[in-house]
Amino acid sequence: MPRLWERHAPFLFILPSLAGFLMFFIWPFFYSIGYAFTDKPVGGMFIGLQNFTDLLTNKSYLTSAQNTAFFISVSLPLSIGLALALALLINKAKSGKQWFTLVFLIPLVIPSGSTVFFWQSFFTNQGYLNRIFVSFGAPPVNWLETGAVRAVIILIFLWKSVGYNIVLFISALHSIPEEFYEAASLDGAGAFRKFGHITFPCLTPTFLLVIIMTLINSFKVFKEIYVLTGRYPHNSIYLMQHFMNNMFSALNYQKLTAATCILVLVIGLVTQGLFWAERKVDA
Amino acid sequence: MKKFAAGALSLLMLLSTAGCSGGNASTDADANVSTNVPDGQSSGQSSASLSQDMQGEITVSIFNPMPGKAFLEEAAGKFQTLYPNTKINVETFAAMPEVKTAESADGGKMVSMVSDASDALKPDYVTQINTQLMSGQGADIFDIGALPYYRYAMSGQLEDLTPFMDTDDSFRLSDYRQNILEAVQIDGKQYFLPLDYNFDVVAYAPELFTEDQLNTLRSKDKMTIEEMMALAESNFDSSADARIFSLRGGAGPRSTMFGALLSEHYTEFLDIPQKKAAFNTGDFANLLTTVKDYEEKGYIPTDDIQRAAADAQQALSLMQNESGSVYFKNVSNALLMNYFTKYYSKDKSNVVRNNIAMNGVSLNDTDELLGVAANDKGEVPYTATQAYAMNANSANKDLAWAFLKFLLSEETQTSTAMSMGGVPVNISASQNKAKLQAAGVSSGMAVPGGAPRMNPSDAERPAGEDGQAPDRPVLSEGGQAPDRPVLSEDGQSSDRPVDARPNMEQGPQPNAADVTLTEDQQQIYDVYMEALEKYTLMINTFPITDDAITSVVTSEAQNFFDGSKSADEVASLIQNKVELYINE
Repeated sequence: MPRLWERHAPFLFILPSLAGFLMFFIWPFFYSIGYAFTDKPVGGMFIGLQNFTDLLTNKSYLTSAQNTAFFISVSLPLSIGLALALALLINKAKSGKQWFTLVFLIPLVIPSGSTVFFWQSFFTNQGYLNRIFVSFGAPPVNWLETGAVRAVIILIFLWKSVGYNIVLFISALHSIPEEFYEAASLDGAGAFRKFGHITFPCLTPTFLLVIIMTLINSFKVFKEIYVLTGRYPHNSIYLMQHFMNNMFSALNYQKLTAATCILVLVIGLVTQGLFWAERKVDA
Repeated sequence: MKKFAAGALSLLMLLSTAGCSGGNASTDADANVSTNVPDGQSSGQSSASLSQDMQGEITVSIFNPMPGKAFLEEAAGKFQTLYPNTKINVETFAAMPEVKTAESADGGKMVSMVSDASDALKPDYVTQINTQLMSGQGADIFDIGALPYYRYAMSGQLEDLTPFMDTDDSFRLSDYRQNILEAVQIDGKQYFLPLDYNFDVVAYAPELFTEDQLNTLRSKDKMTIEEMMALAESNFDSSADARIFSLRGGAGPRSTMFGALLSEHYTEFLDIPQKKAAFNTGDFANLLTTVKDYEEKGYIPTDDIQRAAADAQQALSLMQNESGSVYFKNVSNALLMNYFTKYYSKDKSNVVRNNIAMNGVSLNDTDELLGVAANDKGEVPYTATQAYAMNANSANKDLAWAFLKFLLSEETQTSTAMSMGGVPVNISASQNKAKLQAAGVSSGMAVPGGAPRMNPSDAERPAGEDGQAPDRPVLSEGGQAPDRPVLSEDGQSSDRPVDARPNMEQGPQPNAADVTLTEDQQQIYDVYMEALEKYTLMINTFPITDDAITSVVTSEAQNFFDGSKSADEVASLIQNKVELYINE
């Protein structure tokens, strides 16, 4: 009897959570995929892959895909690099490590709505940043309505997500045995060599986790962007989430779910690629 | 749901045709039915005439309660009296506008209606309608005023009314202004029916032009704004207190120069069906700078009055300052009757000297009519105060069609509750209305609390009122902006109390057939109908607009006129947003 219980106990503990997950995530997702193959949300006919082909020729969707790809390709390395650098620095600090980490973690817990007020007063045409520019004699920049808004959202993303990655990196750095560094010092290795040959390889499994978490967080920054710049922002930051959000508001469920399917496919491939790379590196 | 609807429809057919054959309200389902009972899918089949058995419940939804609510409720009441088994629910979304009044020094009274909230509520309304449509519910009939009707039509949410119109014998297309109804067709299908139409008429002050110029003006019946400008610019004397156009500066509703020019060049900038937006070619930026230029040179009055609208007293004094002569006046067709009355009344001392002005502009009897404002392709657009579409998912399409037909009928369209200055689409109704206005019995404009009716024999007259729909953006169908004060200049005695309106008889207006016109009035009526006929036949387009785009354009353009952004910035911003929106 105890053995039976031991075998099945884990499953029973997970069951409520699993049931909720299935009911509110998995089942609606598969149900909604059905919309991607019809022409109307209500009373539609099956039209095969036409929604997908329409989407791939849709100007707005392509713009959003391009912008999302650009945003991720720039902000992901920046965020990880910055977080790693900061984590190394904090690790080296003699005292007050928790305080430093706390400072970087605070942005993560402040609600988006409150911070947007600050970003707005900072970046609008008559905001603080422009006033600083003007006081130095430089012309003011229209941060929120020209291409410069890309810099703004990358900044917002970095500010928000760096803390999370720092925590992950610090815990990973702690797990690297001190002996490795001591042995390297004895052999006459400098800081860069220590980093390249000890730190970096040991952090490889963490990198996988960090990349995936940063990827997820990069989609979440849509909240701030949406509140800051509205449903139709400047062309350069019209992301896929904007497209999907607008499709949802316009009740164009078929385009919405088609876009979601494509996104899930792409993310699935990327994640599989990362796992494969990790296995290769581990071996 | 579909099966139930099909069943209900067929039952309705059965009952209505049964009523037809018997003549009495028989609900015996076994009555001998000679017509086919159609299957639930086809909705075009309709009984030859409404019967007492028409039953069911439908909902009519309109965003703006002014003027829709009063009109719809009156029409619903009458319909329900005629067909006791039916129920019509009327839903509105925005709040009724505030009415502010002000007294001028010479006793004239001004009424302005200000409704700030309505534009901000439009996206919420669109979301609500979208959600209802998506779940297969929603009102059976809705006014397309604030809605992206083109998208709905293309995604099959609106019912094509052509089958109803063709198969219903009691609906005769010749009763209505066919060019008006046809202008709104999309891909040859009638997705909605306008109840009325408004267009802009241009008049000029002949004393300000040379003989040659007058010959040119008199030979044309439509001109573009550029042509008018070219004619008047050489005469313009900036030292005199004159203006070339009555259209104002600033962005926004129709009676601004920006709005008029945008409307003229609309198809160059925006083509919604083809998903093309061309605001960044430089032409739009030129348009903005041209308007600003006009304002600076004094060709057009500034938009201070628009801003001052909330303070009626200030707006009144601003308007009184604009007393100089105006070369070209761009006015709504609603002022035509008043103009002809002034012009043709032989006994000018007895005529109702009530001067109706809209947005501070009125036609003097010395002005001459040029015609309509058109663009260089000869397109003459119109706007509608109310235009109704049927939900393709409606459970009771026959009743919805019956009600729509009722809204277009002569009796309903003659009622004063309907529109404000818009000409009814029903030809007989437009004749009735004109007759009542010529007789001085009706001002032709609805106001809250009932229709004012002027008694021509009485020296005291009520203020002209502008009760148009609130702050509608440039190109949407609708009357004038409401936050435009209307001034009535007349020599009232100053001890007249503010709210007293002597001889404003509330209550039902007399039947047009009961009114006889004097010789004077008959002439006015004839001239008016002739002009109306001529101009109506010139109308040929109803540009497809989308409220979301219009509000983006006007709010960004306003940034330019405020001086916070350059024309090129504004043009590229608008292009940005509109392109994203159209292509989605």
